Amino acid sequence: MCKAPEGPFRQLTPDPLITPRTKTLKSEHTDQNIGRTTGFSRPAPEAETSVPPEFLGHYRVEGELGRGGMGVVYLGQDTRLQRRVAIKVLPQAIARDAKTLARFEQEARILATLDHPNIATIYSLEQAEDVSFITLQLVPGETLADRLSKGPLTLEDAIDVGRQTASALEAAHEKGVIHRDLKPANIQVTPDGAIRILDFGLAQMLRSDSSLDDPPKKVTGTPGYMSPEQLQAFPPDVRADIWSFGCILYEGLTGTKAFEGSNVSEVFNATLSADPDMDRLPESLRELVERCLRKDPSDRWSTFSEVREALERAVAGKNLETILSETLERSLSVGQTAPSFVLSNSEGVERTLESLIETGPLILHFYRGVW
Amino acid sequence: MQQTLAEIASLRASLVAISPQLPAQSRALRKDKSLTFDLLHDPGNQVANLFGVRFALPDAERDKYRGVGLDLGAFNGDDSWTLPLPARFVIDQAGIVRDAVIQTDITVRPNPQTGLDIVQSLRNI
Repeated sequence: MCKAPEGPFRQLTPDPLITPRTKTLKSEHTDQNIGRTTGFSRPAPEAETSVPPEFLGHYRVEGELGRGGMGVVYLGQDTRLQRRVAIKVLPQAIARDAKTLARFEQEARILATLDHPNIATIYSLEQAEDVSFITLQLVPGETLADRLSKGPLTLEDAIDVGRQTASALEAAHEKGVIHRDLKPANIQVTPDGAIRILDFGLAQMLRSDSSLDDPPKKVTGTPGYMSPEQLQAFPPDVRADIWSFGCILYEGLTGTKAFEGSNVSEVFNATLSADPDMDRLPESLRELVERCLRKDPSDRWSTFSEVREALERAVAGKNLETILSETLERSLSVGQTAPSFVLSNSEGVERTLESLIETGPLILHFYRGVW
Repeated sequence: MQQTLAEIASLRASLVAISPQLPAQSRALRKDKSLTFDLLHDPGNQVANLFGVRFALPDAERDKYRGVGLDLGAFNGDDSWTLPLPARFVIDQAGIVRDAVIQTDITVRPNPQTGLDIVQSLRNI
């Protein structure tokens, strides 16, 4: 996995609650990362203007990591345990709604049931001076969405992300939890290449008799990653997450979203009636992704265990020749912008792309080394 | 590559080579071959990854390398067992790739002279 650049830690992303009011939604279809314009997520009324508190209980607030429809996420210091945490706060304006507060607490309880290396860990559910918040493991790195904004993943990195994501979702499903909002912005990639799935704000317990479950005909998720059944407000099951996983793997491998459009309606239409160009995928993963993205859930993989096994088969079945030709297919082409880099020469002096092209063109060779 | 360096410099262009091998090995190579252009160290082939030319050796190939006493992990200082495809990119001053030659035979290297020709053609535009 490519090393992530240093930068502010990010922990959580918004909980977009999409209603069927599609005609009133803004047309911009940017990523739903916290802190970015989404056009989809409900604003957090008080969060928009509030000044970060100095303390929340025994947590010292040291900055804001992001904000979204269902909360603000702060960087905090646990003054008792002396460790940094992420603090997700439910804005008071929406916390007054008993059902919203209950859903927030349900998210915490769902997270508490999940103990997996690829799922961000919850530390506590707390309340201080009428403010409800949860504290979570602070995961360094960048979101997969940030990583993909720089270009597609290599085949090996895509497989690596796929393996870890499938493993986490397999564990969640075994606990009866479906995520329902799986997308690159909800996957954090640490500098050493590990991934953590974030934000179970829309997660739902299967076989739940909770009154917190969404009412019939409520559409939840993020356009471009929501399954056809979610778009049509049918109750999703684990196969909705498998659909979203297919979208993520497609995007990771090609650098473009599986279902695109210039506005929400176009994205919805593409999801319901168009098929992404599977020829853009490496042959070894084509069938796997295609089977994630079948419109009818009954035609998809039925469990993440199956998906993970298919990934393993795809990897095991490849010889060096296939790996080399798939790498060749994915290499940078004429007309594309070269990525910025900083590398040291053999004497330890740093060179950047920008400095190397300052006076004229650059001839850049990659070679394996001398051995 | 070294032979083309004077001509490259006369065109105000630059030449660098990037590999995962440790700087000490590159220093030895520069000295041995009297190279005057930069050999850049790409730990874990991360920049190669950004250019889409990094690949990981499958387990069977790793065993072959080990069998002949070549431990890539020790040689490159990382345990990723990745390598870059032999590749040559010509990048203009705007940062746009103007020529790309990538080969799947990891024992060969792109011809330096053709890279020079591309730079000359850019200068003539």
